[in-house]
Amino acid sequence: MSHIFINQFKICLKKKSLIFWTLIFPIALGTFFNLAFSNIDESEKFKTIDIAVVNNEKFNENESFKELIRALSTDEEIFNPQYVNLEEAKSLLDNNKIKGYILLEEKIKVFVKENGLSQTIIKSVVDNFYQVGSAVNHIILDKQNLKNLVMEDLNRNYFKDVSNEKVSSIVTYFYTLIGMACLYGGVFGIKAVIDSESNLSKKAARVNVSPVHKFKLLLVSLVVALIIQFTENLILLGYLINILKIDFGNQTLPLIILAGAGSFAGISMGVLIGLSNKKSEDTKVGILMSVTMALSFLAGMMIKNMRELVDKNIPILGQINPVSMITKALYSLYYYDDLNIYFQNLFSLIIFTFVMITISYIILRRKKYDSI
Amino acid sequence: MIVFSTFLKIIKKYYGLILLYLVIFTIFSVIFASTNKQNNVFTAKKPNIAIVNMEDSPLMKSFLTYIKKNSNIVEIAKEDLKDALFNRKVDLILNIPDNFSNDFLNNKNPEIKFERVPDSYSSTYALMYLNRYLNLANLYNINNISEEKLIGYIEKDLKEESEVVFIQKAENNYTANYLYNFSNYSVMAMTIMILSLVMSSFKKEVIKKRNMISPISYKKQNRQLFVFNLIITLAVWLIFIIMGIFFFKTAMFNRQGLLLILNLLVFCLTVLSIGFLIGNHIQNKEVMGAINNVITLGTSFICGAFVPQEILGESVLRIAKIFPSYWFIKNNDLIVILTNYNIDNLKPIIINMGIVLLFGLLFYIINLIILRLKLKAK
Amino acid sequence: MNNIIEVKKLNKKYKNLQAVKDLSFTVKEKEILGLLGPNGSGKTTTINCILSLLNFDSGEIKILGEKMTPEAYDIKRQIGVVFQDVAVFDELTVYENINYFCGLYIKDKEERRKYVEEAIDLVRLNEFKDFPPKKLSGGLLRRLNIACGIAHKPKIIFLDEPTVAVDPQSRNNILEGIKKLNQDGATIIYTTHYMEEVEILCDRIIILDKGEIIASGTAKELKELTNIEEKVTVEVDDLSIDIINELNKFKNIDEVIYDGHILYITFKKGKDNLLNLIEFMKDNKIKYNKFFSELPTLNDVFLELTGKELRD
Repeated sequence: MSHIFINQFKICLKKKSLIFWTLIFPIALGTFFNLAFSNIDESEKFKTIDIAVVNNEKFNENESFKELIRALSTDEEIFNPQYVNLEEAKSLLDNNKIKGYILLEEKIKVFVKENGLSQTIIKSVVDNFYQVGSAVNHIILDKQNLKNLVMEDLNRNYFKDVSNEKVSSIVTYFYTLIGMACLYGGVFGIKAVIDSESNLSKKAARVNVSPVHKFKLLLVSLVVALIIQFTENLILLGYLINILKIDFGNQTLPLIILAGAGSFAGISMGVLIGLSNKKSEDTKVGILMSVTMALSFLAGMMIKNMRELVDKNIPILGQINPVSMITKALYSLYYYDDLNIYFQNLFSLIIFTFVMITISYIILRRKKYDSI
Repeated sequence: MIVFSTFLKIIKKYYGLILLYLVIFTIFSVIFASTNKQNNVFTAKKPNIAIVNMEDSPLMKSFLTYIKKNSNIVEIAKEDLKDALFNRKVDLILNIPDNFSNDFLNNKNPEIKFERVPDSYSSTYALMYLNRYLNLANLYNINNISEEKLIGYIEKDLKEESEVVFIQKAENNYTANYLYNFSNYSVMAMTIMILSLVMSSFKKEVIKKRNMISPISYKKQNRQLFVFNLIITLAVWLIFIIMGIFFFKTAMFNRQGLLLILNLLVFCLTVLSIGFLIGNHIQNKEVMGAINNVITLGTSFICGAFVPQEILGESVLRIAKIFPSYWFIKNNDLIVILTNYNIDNLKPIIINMGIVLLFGLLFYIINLIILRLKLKAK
Repeated sequence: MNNIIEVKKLNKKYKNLQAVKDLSFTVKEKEILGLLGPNGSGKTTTINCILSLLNFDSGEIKILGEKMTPEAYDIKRQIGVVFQDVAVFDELTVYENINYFCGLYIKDKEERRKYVEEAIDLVRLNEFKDFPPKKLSGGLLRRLNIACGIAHKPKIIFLDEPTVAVDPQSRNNILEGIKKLNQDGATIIYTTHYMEEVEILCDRIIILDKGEIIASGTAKELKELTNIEEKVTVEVDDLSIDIINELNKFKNIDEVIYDGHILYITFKKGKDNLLNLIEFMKDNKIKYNKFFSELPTLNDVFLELTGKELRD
């Protein structure tokens, strides 16, 4: 058996397409993620908002509002205002040079084109101006004999973030990537099936006329696949952790166990795809790729709140999606100290693998070749 | 017509896989577009908030009423809070410290600890208006207004709001760019996959037939192949037009919708040229798949198909400029905020389309050069 | 001599096609049995059924006196198969491929190395030992395919069209190799649609058509089955119709064909055919260039039995 083992190793490692899908591609994709997201934190920091203020009489009379805009643009750099007439303001907005303009009439009006973050901030600033003004009025009316109004700390923050200090959700992209890489390990499963099922390849026919038990050979191929895929997963993790500096939490052993369980799940899915139809290897790999992409999509590889959406609306879909399980398990390692959610998902992953293997086994047992 | 029959044969051989691709990417696009259609209007979505250790003081009661007005309060047992946060059942957990009202009214500046879903707009927004309440309360408090009074005052204060006027909202599909930016991924993946699959098989078939029948001229055959590829590309284009109509109804037929459709057409033609290049010079299907996946996913991430360009960092966008996808996506973003169809506004859009077309031309020329070199080598 | 393989009343149907029908035959120890038939006559199906790669509808197959099943590992140990299609790993070298497949039978490393070396010698791939299969030409690849099937020195060897699309040099090499294996004691079942190969190689021949045995025996025995004594070809110009009519009246004549330059005459069984023909030429002062005579081939046998050519 040892010689089959060694040769299967050689075959798998020399088959470039296998190594590409299971290692090179995830590494390349991870690098793209990193490129795309490395500056996101920076860009989430506040950008100065371009606005226009209509420079009419009402505005010039309103010293306190004038002062507010000045303070917000010079002291705090929230706004980058242009003081223009109404026509100019309209055309600036029309041509997307500004996010919105402020017009003082009886009330203060905010003109915008869409409902976005910048627009909300403009509105909120104006709202706050009104509300503080109203409050000051109340105070003055209440305290007829008020000597001096205390106006300090109007923008205090009363809230403190204790979210584990880990607020980045960017990491989930990388977690789905691990899930995707695991399922791509299915190419090894497909290969193992094709090399051992005589209705799928001539090489397998050769094995079937030899005195070696077919299951034994399939098993050896799968063990080899598992070792390679597991090693590749560790390399991928190593790359993400050490080179791209992605945070995977500090619990190494659960991480390694998950990488192993993920490899197992992917390969078992590949075996089932390999056994489920008699199409060519190209087509089987095509099916694996499409299914993996779909599951990764649903787990949030392209949109980060996809997984939450699925969990909220179609929870069953999130519960049977192995990429989602791996992502959640990894995220819980990163986000929580206890391992409850990790174990839940690890367990789901094991059940998934078990189901795949059971169905494969049933197909395999039933198989009798009526044609080759 | 040998080219035609061969072509149909190949399509028949791979129809399952092609159909699978079409269905998956169409579904991806639909889901992507519909999630973003909701998410973009982020103020409309009320966050789910869980509150721990609620006090029974008048100030707190009034604060709670205010919170309820702007968000959904979710009742969750304390030990399930972490799970709830993890599963996004709550967006924000507020942990009110003991004696909060007292400390607050005695100017001890107590802090409310919170946990939240990372980077969620709705929780950021919630914190902003919650702070506003407390700041107003503080203003009254430091000016020695009693608890009972300030509660009533704040209620009135918070009704004061600015008036927001939306200009020309009717004609615009502000979210249409999400669908069309995402199409960078789906259009490229679908088109290149189908083209390269068809072309590599086609070449094999033709080589087989060459032994039996005198071949039609290489040029003619290549031209016919190009026409068929064009048909596939246009079919993919059509799918996305239909999807656009499905989502944005008649708004797809106004000036803006038509510009989006035109922009996509220009991009599709460039993708056709890329697909032709790959299909012509790479025979191995596995290598094709590899290249296809790297190109489509790679450009989608760094050019802003998944994550909007305005969120991407400067340095990434500098790299992104060497791909046609960047200009295509940038154009979508420009088109959806277009309200004034004057030369100043249209010029950059037309220039971007030109750049995308130039890319297409470039790939076509590279294709021709390689063909020429190959012929010479023979 | 013992019966190595016994096939009794084998039937196999693919959907609507009866691929093998009531097939019965035996293979004796140390003989080379040829299964001859056109494409689609059921040769490969028969072999796959014997090897238990395929289910069959009815019949009985015994190898070495035991019933053959997919789990009959002791029997499988004695068998070597060379499939029609090349089935090797592209990722392994020539040596590694042979070693891999041989290793399914031979556990001992040292012993295996000897076997692999001998197999490489046999198919003369010594220079290409470390080549990957992709760098081998079609003929060499076929030889590798054979080496992979027989390296473990099986007692029984099945060869399924090992010479299809092979250059003449490789073909001779392959045929020599098969003879050598037989001399070393192996029983061989050989399928082909090249009758020349069967004639050179096989001790006994079974002719199949549409899944049925239509004739069997040695090459000589089979040829006895036909009515044809010999076929004569004469290169001759400008024969008149009268002459051809005369020829048609010849004794033992079966068929006369003339295309303006070459005259083909087929004679039925009988004596003095050539002599009569030459005399006739002399009498009529017909000048001819080449004149030669052939004995009937297996193709003629097949043609006569089925009304069609072996090669379609």
